[in-house]
Amino acid sequence: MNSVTLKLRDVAEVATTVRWNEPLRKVLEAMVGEGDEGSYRVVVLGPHDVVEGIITGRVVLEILAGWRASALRLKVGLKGLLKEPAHVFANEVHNALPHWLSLAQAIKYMLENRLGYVLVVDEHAKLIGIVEEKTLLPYLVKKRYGIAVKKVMKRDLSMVSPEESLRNTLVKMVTSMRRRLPVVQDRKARGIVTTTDILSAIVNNIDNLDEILNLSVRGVMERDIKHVAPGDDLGIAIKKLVKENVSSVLVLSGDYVEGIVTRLDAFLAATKILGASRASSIIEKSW
Amino acid sequence: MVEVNVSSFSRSLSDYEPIIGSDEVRTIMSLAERVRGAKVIHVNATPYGGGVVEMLKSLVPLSRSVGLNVKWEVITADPDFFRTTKRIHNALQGDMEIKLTEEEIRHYLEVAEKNASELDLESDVVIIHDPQPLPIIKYVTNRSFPWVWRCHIDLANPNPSVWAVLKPYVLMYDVLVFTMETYVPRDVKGPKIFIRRPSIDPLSPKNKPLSQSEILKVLNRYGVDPDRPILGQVSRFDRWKDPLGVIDTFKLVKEKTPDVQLVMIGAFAYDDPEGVEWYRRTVKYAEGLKDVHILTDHDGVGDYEVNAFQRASTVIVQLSIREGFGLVVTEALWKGTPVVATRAGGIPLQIIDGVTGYLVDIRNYVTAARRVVELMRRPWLARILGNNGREHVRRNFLITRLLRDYLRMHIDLVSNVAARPQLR
Repeated sequence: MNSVTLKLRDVAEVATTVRWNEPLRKVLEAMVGEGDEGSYRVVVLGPHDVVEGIITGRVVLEILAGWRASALRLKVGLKGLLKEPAHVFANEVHNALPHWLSLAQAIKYMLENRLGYVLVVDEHAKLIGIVEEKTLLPYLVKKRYGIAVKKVMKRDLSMVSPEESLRNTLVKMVTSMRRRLPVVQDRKARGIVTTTDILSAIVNNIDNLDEILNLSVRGVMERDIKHVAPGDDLGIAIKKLVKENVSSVLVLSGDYVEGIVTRLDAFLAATKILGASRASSIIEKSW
Repeated sequence: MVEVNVSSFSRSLSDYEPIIGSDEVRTIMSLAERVRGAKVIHVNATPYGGGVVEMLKSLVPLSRSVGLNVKWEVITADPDFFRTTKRIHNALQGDMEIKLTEEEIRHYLEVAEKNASELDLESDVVIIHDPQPLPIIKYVTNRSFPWVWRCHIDLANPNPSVWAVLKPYVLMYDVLVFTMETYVPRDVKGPKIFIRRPSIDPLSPKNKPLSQSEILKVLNRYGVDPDRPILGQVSRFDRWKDPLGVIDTFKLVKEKTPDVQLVMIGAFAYDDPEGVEWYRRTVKYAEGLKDVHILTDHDGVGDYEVNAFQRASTVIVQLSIREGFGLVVTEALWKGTPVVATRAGGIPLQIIDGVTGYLVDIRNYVTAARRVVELMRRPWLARILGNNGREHVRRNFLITRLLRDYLRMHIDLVSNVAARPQLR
């Protein structure tokens, strides 16, 4: 198959969006979605589809934990907060790139800045779409990268026990700036809990938030642990991330958690080894 | 205590409408409406020199123009204090040799205590910038409103002994704001953490459009030939900006482009006692070299002249070893001047390699020089990169973005804003 030089507009996927004046509740619903349709990142559009900001799952967790919008929450309560317009909670976007940029240049930019996504915009800053590590990683599946998982994984982990309340788990995620926490008992892996797991538990029971947050992690964690061994090649981790469609794999020695490899860790490691040009030409060949 | 008078920078949000569009103006106003009258106090160490001052000069009047009650105060301190805080700065940037003496720590805290009693710190939000005024929080009596520490430097790998001195004060704050996620020290747990990028003001004297004749007048005044290529650098005289490396790069460029001129511009901020020493070292290092112009505020170079030189430069270099964000890169890109810069701090966010400029590894002067020569020999390429750079800044790094960020933070933190008279 002949390869083509892909531009960002060619690879951009439709981003999950809300309008600037739509309520926060809508952001929460968009994040959880139905089936696999949820998105960790929701782009907030101003009038005329111009990008006004982005809200990530972490921002919503911070709001629910009382870390963000605490003053506003005092005034209007949690229910009132969910009715507030999305743009009040958005973070500014500083990685909006032009649609004509080549994929190789964009990958290089993501690699230089350790970014998991870039937004693709037209000449008037109107949103065209989003390019994420999860869009590109499936094209980078290969048997061997010649680097062991232990060289790529994160080691400084925050972990929770299955009996930990969702409230404490949420605070732990916020303070450690981590989206996924291994669930361990006597240091042995029992599961993994993600931001999306917690948001999913909350979204349909938002009126009983206190009750929900008192539940234990055991009720929402993913028990079917996707894992690799420290000595496995990066290629094995990428294959597992893609095949199982998960955002991270645990690195286990027996039952013990040694680390975690996220989709972003794997994407950055793979593109660093390949080089941005080669990574993009691999993607272009199979596009 | 000095309150900085920003009336000479006054402008209103509507002045930005031609650049950002009416929609963005409307959304900013709708955010501002929620915190109208909120009293916000910024405190830093100097009224001139450096990126923090650049931002405050614009952010303060702009915030006032949308209804906030904002004050900018500067601490008062003696040269010994600034010598210590410069050492603290260097240690936080990664100089592991530095050990603060008991006397230095005592004086650092003494100055904080004195300023805590002299500054007006009754507010809805107080924002303390950088390590110099950091310990003030220890000595204030009223902490019933949120205190924010805005750290503009990279704390990813600080000198442990100096960090141990500062950390207890950092943890006293309600909110910490960093430029990049990677700058947050791993052992900081407790305060809320926000990540906020700096930005530039397209209408400030440093960035506003200039006519060709205005630019030529400035070049003539300083004896710079407008008909020959100019390699420019604007930075404090500071070891982390690697001024001697800039001269080494210039020498290499000169071998290939003999008529090139180097213009190095810096200002002496009074919170930076090493500035004079590094200026002298730079001048000495350039001794005997032709076509080198090393200019400072003492030569009458202010914002307007910096603007002219950034616009007149064929290429701008920024070869920092460590960098917070690198607003001088943003300024050059906004002017359509191509930039060759190191992979330091926030620079790679601004330079898309080969698209808005070129990135080089730290201390790789050979590659830096090669890239500069390439751009000097190919004006069409310089023009394309320059245009791309300007659009990248327009999309991502203008002051109105920062204003929105601050408004959202105030909405987040300020609970009891009643309409209050505007502070003047």
